[in-house]
Amino acid sequence: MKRISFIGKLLLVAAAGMFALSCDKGNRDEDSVVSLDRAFFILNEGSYLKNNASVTRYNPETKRVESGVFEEQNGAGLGDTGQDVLAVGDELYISVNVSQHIRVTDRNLKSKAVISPADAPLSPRYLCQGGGKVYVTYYEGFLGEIDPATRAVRTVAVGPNPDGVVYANGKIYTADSGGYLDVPNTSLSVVDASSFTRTGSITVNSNPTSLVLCAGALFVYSYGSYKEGIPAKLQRVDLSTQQVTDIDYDSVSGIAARGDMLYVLCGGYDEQWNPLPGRIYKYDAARGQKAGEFVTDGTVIANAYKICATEHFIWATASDYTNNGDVYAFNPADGKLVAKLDSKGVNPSIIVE
Amino acid sequence: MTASGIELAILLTVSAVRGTCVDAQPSERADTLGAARVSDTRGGRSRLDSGVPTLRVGSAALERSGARDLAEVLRTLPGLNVKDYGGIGGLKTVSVRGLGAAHTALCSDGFLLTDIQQGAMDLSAFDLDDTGSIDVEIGTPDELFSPAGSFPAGSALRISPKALDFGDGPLKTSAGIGWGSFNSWKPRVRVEGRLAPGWGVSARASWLRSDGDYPFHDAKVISGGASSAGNTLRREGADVSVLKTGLRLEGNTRRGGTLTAGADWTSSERGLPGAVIYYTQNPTERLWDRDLSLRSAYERTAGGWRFRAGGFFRQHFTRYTNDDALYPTPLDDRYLQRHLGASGIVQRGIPLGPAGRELRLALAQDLSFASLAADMMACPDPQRLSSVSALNLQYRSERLTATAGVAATYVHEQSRKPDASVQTAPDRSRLSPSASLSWLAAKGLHLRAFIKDGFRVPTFNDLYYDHFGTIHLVPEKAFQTGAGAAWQVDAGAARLSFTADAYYNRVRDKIIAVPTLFVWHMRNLGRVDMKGADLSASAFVPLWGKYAFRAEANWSVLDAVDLSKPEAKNYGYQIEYTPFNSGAACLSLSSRTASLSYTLCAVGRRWYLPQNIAANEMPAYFDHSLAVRKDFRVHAALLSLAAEALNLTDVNYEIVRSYPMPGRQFRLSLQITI
Repeated sequence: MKRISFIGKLLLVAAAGMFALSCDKGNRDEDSVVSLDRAFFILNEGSYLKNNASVTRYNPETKRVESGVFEEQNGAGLGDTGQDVLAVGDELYISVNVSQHIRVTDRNLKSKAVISPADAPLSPRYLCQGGGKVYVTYYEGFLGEIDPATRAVRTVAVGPNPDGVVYANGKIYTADSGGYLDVPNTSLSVVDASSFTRTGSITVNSNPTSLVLCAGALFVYSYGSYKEGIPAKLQRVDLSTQQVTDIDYDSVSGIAARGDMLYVLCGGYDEQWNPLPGRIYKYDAARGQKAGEFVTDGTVIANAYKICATEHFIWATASDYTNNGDVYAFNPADGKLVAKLDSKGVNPSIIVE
Repeated sequence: MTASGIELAILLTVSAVRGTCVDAQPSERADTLGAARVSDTRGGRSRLDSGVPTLRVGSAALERSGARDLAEVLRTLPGLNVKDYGGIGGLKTVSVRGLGAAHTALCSDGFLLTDIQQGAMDLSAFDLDDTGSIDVEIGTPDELFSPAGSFPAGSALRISPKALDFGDGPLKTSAGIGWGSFNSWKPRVRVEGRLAPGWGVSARASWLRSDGDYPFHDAKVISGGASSAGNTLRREGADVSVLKTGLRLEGNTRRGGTLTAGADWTSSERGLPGAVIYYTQNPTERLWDRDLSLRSAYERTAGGWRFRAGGFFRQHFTRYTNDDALYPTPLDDRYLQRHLGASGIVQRGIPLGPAGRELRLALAQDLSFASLAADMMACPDPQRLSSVSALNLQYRSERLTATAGVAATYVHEQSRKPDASVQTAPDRSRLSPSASLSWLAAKGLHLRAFIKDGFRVPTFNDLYYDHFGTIHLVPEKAFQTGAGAAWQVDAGAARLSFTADAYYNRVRDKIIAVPTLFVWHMRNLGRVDMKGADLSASAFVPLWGKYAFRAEANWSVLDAVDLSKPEAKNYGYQIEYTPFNSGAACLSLSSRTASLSYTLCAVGRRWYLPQNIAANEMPAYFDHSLAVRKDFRVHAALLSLAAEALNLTDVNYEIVRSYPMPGRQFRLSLQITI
């Protein structure tokens, strides 16, 4: 009896979930979608120390959401804490932070290689590419340079616990968060690509984490220092003068760039630390001015987690950190929701096309 | 995952393993546990005439089981769920009927042991070598003569020391050596004897060391394009070294009272192997513990009065290091907990006419002072003063036992740091009422029911951990109610007993860690409803000569659903790490000098994350073990040989995700007593 009643409840919950999902799909505006028969890859970070990082494949045309593809292709899981995924040619580079390697797969998620420094394993964070190389921050305090042809890695020391990384004009910038320090770090490292040496640093707000290149300038999102009472902040760095200016948004929790437009996800919490719904704002980076709210159809993003931009969509992810998350895809042209789906993994964070 | 998320996960893992380790103290006399009412050696593990379900593992059962730590014993009991991070050094805690480990009160030697920092005590800290019996009272203590602090808790687990043997003979010395898989060795020595007429003393020391590098089957690993299935790896950085020493004094005073005193010192060092992460193994954590415990109690029974008063002091030092390259400066944290307490119980029995009817009134009072000092940046060095008073009334007749009581808890906290900006939690007080009933409905058939409203106080980690803690937390409430039947039937010299209990529990204001973008916060957010049943059967059959056969089996079902947030995807789902079905069976053939026993633990599927989906499922497992024991007499010496084979079928399972349990392993031990 007990079992049956519970299973009954399970079915009810599952049914309610499916109903909710199908309703969301009903919002899809058929005309506004670019015709695509191409998969998107959603990286689910997973839960720390639970070895459940995963990649979910999503096709907006067929609405097919596939989880477990990597496991089926390779007979094993991705590992612990999927940090970043980058499309390099026809390959995907997936940095798996706690498992201490970068997994290279084809677009069917079939594993092709594992990349790790030769001497000792390091914990990869974020990836970027430029000048024919792939760059990765290692949280132990290094920038890695990967030759995609040979998969060989060389490293150079940067600041403490580097996080975000971008390549611009022969230079690599790393956000040296100092996340494992009692007092977080407040600078970016500048590394010259040709000599692969650290040539300088730029002082920014405390605990810099995300770097985005937009309209020729570098945008830095930093967590701030909760312990010191320093708030999160969005800053713009002029790459020629290295001048840093603050951009005034409240409760920033992530940034993404598409063309000359910067998308700023803002969250925040009420007094009880319940998350407020996420709001996405546009910042016209070319003109240097705010361009209003992005979402135009009233979509509420509860438990907003990350923001991501691809050629065809602006993505917001949602997570309560323990259950499978949600992914929202918006049309960049009109700010309307195109699709909402269960990410089939914990902490969906990055989407690549 | 954000850096702060990683930090919290580390905190939780570290504080999980950093647990305070107090040695199980000898001392409570068996009769203070109501052992007089425990069914004789033919019975099963349950007491039949109590208003709440009770479980008892006596010294003979302990010896037969071949168990070497408390977790091995508790996991065979109905309604108990042992959480185990694996290996000798891995943290082990016990939760009763799904309430969570912090709702289990551990009493040793008549004193309540608490870990003020993290709440749940590590079971591996208790020394089974010196344990005489283990009693579990589910819901509320049925024995009124219990320390006050055990009444507000969800369940009480009491560990009683081996009775001291101080007859007329000379000093009794026993020395032994144990060997186990993974290069484990445990030499031990114990001396006991008479100090003066009516006064006895015992001293013991043991040292356990192990490489702890047990093999486990890694999930399939892919290196580049090639997949290699079922690698066998070894746990790295799991070495353990534990030195336990203890001294105990017991004596009868001229006025008919009993005085006990004990002192224990434990020192340990261990590697923390951490979670098994796919594709990398990088143990960087170590833990040191030093624990000193002193206690003394005086007890006397006179007329209808029974009285006990005692005091204790405990100091626990922990050092934790982590030299992972992720930390720009390696971690080297030190924590010092101190507990000072006094405990008293007065019980009055008033006979009501003939036929053994009696009214019992008991008043118990615990006072304790606890402090935590840590060298972390923001630790306010909190101190807690707590008082628990318990007043209980029990009516007993041949057919009926009815108990009602209330416990009042008051907690005051302050900071030792003179900084005005340091805030401590406001004073808290709460009443925990309870009532139970046992009725002899027919010959050998007892019906029982209880109701209880208990709670747990937030731990210092919940309240004060650097930026994670929240001082405004309220206690986590645990309401419990249950009813059942216990039936015992004698067939010649054989005896059969059965118990069946059903229950409903509800946890409100569950204290959980809630992540935010920047930092995690402890909050009173959760609600869990539990419906369950525990069934047990046992048989005792005397065989030829002095041999006897015993069989015990139990099965528990528990439906524990999360009702915290209606909008969450796990609303209405079974909570993590909680099987719907679990059970155990023990079969033994024994005489006075030899025993052979088989134990099975069966645990159904469960989930390691809140959503009950295939990706989060942990498969069911069966763990079989065998134990054999034989005593020989060689002149004046008694030689005991014991051997155990654990996880016989070499099943690869995890209780906690990413923490594999050891596969098949063996142990041998030899002891000589002169």
